[in-house]
Amino acid sequence: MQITHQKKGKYLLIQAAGRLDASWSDHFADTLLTQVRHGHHHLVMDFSNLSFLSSAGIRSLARIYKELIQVKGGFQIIHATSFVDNTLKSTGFGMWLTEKPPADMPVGKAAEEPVRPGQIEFHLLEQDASLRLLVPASWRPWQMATPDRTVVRKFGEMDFALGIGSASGNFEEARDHFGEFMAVAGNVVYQPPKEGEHPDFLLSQGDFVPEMLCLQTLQCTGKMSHLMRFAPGKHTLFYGVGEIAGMALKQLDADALAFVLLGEIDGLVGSTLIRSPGLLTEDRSIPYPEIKGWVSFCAERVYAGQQALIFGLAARKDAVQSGGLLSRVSATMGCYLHAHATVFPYQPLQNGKIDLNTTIQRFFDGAPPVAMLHLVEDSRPAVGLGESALIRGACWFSPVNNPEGLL
Amino acid sequence: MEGPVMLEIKNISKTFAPKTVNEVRALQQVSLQISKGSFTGVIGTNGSGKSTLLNAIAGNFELDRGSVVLDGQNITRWPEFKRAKLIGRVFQNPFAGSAAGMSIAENIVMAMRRGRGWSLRTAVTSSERREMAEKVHSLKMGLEDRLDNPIGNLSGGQRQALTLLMATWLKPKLLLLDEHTAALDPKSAAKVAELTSKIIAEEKLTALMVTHSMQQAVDLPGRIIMMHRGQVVEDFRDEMKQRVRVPDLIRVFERVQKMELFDQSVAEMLEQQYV
Repeated sequence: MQITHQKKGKYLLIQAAGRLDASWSDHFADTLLTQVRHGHHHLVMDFSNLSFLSSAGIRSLARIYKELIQVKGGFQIIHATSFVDNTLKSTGFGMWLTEKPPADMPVGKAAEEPVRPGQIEFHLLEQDASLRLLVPASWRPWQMATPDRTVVRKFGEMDFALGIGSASGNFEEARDHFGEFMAVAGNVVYQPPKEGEHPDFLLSQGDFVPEMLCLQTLQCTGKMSHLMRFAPGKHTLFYGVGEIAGMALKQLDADALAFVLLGEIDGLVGSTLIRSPGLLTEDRSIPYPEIKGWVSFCAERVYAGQQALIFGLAARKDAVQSGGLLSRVSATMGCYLHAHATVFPYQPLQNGKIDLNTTIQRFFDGAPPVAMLHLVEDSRPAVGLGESALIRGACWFSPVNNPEGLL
Repeated sequence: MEGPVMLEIKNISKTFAPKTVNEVRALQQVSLQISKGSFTGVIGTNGSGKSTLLNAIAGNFELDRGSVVLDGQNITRWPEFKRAKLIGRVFQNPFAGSAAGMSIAENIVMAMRRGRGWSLRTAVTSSERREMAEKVHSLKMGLEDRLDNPIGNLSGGQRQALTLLMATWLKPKLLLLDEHTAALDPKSAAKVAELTSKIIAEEKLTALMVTHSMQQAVDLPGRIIMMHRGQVVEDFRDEMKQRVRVPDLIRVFERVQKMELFDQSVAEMLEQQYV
């Protein structure tokens, strides 16, 4: 089977020649789903040279169709041979067939795509929207956890937060279970402090609002004012998380902001608590090699190809004093950052202006998260892994109107 | 619930070629308690010390330190042949546990009389032959009618099944299985693995099995011990063992490997970055 594709305006014209049967169906679906992953969400399939279509072939078409429906894309088949036409109609999939290509699809040889260094677009969501920051618990490594250093926080749909906490109801139960968490729009993901454990999650439903006993939390309440969409271009294959935050700061011309980032992972760099700080018996520093028993490090760029949901706070480098709850991101846009990432199995994102809550909900309704990381920038000379980066995705952000807690 | 202890290993260590460029710290302060009637899987990367652990229990070499107690008897200083009265063993090589030139019956009779000493009266009695045929029949390989055939004519899978039968004939206190299905074709490996579980369950044996197959380890009814660089780095037991799956084991392997890359420079970087 031969599969060729041609970009025509917003459409991708796929020409398939040969037999779409059990031997080729997986290859066909994988090839087209890769195109969907690359942001081509309007597929037009020219089946004028497709001589055979089996049930396995129809199943592969259905896989692609289902994925495109999720991202509000388009899927149509043109110039089907009589065998393919009859097969699709008699199996109830005649709605995929159309007589002609879409009217707005350019005809003839496609014009050369302009070479773009990278593709960034900003959307204004709400002119005056902003976030209010609260830092009700500010544990620093490696302070002993005590009840008076913790606080119970609820995280509703207007809340965004990250920190270290436990879903347990009281301090004694929580003592062994303080780990990283993040909250986005009423959804809380929490990483138990034992390596190999899956992240757990709590979702707002009905009257239930997730709450955590927090040892450290940076909580923002309010709405996101802007959306940035980013995709790779000729010279930019991926975007560092610090780089994205830096572009957002520049766009807002603000000292500090909070952001929710959802995108396909190029590689994440981070660490996770593997022992609860509740087990510390005094405030102290933890030297090497003992530190290896308390916090893990990813050791390589991880989770490429999966989807990251990141919540973070960033501040301009020149606005920050050292010693706060942000850490230095030196290599990119000169900002300070604190971000936690949850890793989900890959799902494509709809192009253009998309709603934060609806988009995120789709991930929480799907397969469970596979990991959670506190992102760090590994700037060690020669062996450093650099910073976490995404290939394409969406970043919702808003200025923090009381950044004093960060700065 | 775990029963009484059958095997207790306390702080055993072994370094091969010490103080030379070839020094290998094969076992480092390994401690384990294995319950009577349990079936424990031992997994780990190449060179992690799995087979060395089995060799240490079987008495292949003298330990640098530590002790091995089997069914209440301290066997640390016992030579290998003396331990063989209490310990059955099946190796990876299906040709290692039997004598190729001898018949199936002759191989089995040696296993039947293990530890009893030898006399001129080596002929197989009719009652022994009946018992032999019954047990060989239980393998469901059709070998009971070929007891006088040389064992060397059998396939690797058939030979390993017979080796397993011979190793368990006298109900050893402990059965050591050292990747005993690894050299077999997939079908024979599955058959021998099934026979292993059946024999261990029926005879209520205590077994320790080294395997490279994580699925095989997950399917075991008992514990999984993971070794790395001569140490036990993970011990899945009880309810943890019930829920463990192959991806969980892979994650632990990754963690162990990540841990190795966590050096002083990572610690210094995290001191700056982890807030």
